[in-house]
Amino acid sequence: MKPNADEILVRFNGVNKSYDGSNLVVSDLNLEVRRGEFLSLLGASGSGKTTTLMMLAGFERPSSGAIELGGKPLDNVPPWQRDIGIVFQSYALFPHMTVADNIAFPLKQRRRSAAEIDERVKAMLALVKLEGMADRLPAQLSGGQQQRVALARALVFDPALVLMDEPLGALDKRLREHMQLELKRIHERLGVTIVYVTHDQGEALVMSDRVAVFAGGRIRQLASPTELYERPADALVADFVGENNRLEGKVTKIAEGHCQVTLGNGLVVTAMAPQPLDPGQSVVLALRPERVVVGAVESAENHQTAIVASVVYLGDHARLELAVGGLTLVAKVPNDARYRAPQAGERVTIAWRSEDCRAFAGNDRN
Amino acid sequence: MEIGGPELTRALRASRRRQQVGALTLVAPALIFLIAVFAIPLALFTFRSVDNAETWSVLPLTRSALSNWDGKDLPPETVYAALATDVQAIERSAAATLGRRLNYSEPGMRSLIISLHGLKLDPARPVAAQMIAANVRWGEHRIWQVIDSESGRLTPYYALRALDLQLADGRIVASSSEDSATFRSIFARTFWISGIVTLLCLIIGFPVAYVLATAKGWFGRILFISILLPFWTSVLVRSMSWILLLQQNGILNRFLIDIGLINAPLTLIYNRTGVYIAMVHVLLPLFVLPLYGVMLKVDRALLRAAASLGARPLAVFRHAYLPQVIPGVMAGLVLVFVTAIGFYITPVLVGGGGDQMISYFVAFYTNASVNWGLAAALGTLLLLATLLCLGVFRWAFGSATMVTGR
Ligand SMILES: Nc1ncnc2c1ncn2[C@@H]1O[C@H](COP(=O)(O)OP(=O)(O)O)[C@@H](O)[C@H]1O
Ligand SMILES: [Mg+2]
Repeated sequence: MKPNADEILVRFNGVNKSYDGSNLVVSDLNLEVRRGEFLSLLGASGSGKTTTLMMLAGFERPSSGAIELGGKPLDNVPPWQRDIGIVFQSYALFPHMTVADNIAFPLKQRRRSAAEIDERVKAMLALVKLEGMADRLPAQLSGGQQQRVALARALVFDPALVLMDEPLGALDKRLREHMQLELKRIHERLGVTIVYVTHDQGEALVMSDRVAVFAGGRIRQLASPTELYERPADALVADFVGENNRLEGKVTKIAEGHCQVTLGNGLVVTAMAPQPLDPGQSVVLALRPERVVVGAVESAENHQTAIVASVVYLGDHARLELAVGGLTLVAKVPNDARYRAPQAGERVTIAWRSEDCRAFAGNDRN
Repeated sequence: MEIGGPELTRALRASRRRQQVGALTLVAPALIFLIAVFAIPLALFTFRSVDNAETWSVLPLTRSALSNWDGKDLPPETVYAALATDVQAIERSAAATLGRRLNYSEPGMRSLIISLHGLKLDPARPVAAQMIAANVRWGEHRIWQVIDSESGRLTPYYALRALDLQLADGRIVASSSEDSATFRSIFARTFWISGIVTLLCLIIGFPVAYVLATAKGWFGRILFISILLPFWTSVLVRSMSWILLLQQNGILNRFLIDIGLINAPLTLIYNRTGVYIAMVHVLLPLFVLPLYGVMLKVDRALLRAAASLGARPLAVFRHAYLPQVIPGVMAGLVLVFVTAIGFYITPVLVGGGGDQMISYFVAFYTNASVNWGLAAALGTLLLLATLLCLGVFRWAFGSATMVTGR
């Protein structure tokens, strides 16, 4: 039920934001949100995600640049006319109103008929599975239930766009994972556009159609979860999304898209080079632990001999610490019927495909 | 508790007792101070309003003689003799005090008692005849009724008087005293003035608290200090400034005339207007400060949520802001009202004769016309009114709100 995926609902055009007049909290933000998509803003605390969301909601003004919603500039549209639903991290439910009154609030503000309000509130309570809670006060609900009320309230007036600022941050892990799937179900069911802020990369990967990785007020990469994980644009994104081995070295040879890198201990490996690099330049290699093949054949690409320093058993997989000529690599190996994890102290041959190892300019650490 | 057996239970109890003793030791100085300077004086003062020691303690013989009187005719010779003995046994000043006290109930008693104190009595002849000869009123039945009803240990006289009532022939009736100062209307005036002052504090203070809670930087600080300044200034300095500002050819009147707003000076002081201006000035911080504290803690996400859901600014205020600050408003109102009904010095300095509040009369009966019983009765009524206000507030909002405004 997704509408035309190419239609742009929100457009940030060169948006800058500074609170104090000197430090840019958001700088040169260019971002397009497609109608019906689930877009996550992922980044560490302080990277400018909330500020971006609040500018879109109308509670902060961009210092420069423009924001459009549905093709119309938002400059002079006050928050109450933007028709954007927001789910706050603190839920922000009205404590003196019942669940039903909270959900009815946006409809009452829009002067809808009592019959329509009644019907919509019932439908929303069913959608978020809170039938029977209509007359409770927020204080009488659990955190997860309050979260659902906040969601229902943000959706009940059929906004074209819903913003969520770390809405699951206050829930415990199990409930959070459950709510992630629930949110995804609701998103697919209603076809509403969602811009979702999180600092939890796992959450972003599970839920999103696309993820914008924020750092220092800039978007470092905007891509699908697969793209982000498989082909991070820079070292920071690679670090932020998923786990990585970081190996420092110098470029010795360069060919289109590939490069040869000599590591600190003298080992020579080949890797992908998504950024332009020069011979002699310091680089950081990023290598996913699950892409390190343990027990490889001698003829494989990038094969090395390693000693298993330690094994941590984690049920469905094991984490190995491998000593490779003075370096330490982490590898994840499956614990399944076809594979036997090595023991600590064992000598093994390891290898990785050069497509799985990416070289980034080494000074890029911010 | 039973898991560890009796020793554990005992040990736990002992440790709790030690904690309680420790806590008590820490608050002991404050507790002793409060009992010494507040609880005991208050109890003594309250007791004054029903205490009848002035007559009771000086008329021991009369009391026992009167106990045999049937109250129908004039009392027997023994009662006359007992009264004469009692009155002549005390100092002249004590006799004057007794006379004044009895005079509250029956005009003329004062001179009767004082002349009885100096009356030369011939022990050979009946006392009754000699007293009636000296003053015929000793032959009035009413005089002896008053002495009989006013010689008990406790008296309802002051409490009734404070409500413009008195006891006549065992029934409560409207007071007939000649200085009948209509305390009921003074109480009504006290509540009226306090109510108006509270309302003005609400109207002026709410926006001020809001600006204080949202203003940043030097503007906020200056505003804050100017609101708090009356709190830190001595009442005499303050009233001098009010007089300079508000008098007939004071700064305000001259300014208003200069800019052509008025032709003749307004009377802004030594009347009700002056009382309102001065009391609002003094009490405003009491309203603003608790409200300011509450406004600082307002959850802004709630305001944003309301706006994002389609509420215009007025609706945001009504549905998201006001519910959050109402406890602070109520705390401020009660604080101002309760303080205002006890006001004394400000109305004295800037009010006229018809603007004095009940505390003025408490002070008047304590200092000027030494009638401590009436002062105590008025004070006790004021205290009860205060407690009633606090009780209603506590019943409506819970006790924590009263202190913290939350
Ligand atoms: N209202 C504000 N006034 C001043 N600085 C702010 C304000 N809100 C956020 N900031 C600053 O802007 C930066 C980005 O904040 P924010 O957008 O909240 O980041 P995020 O949501 O990614 O954690 C932070 O350094 C923060 O301290
Ligand atoms: Mg944030």
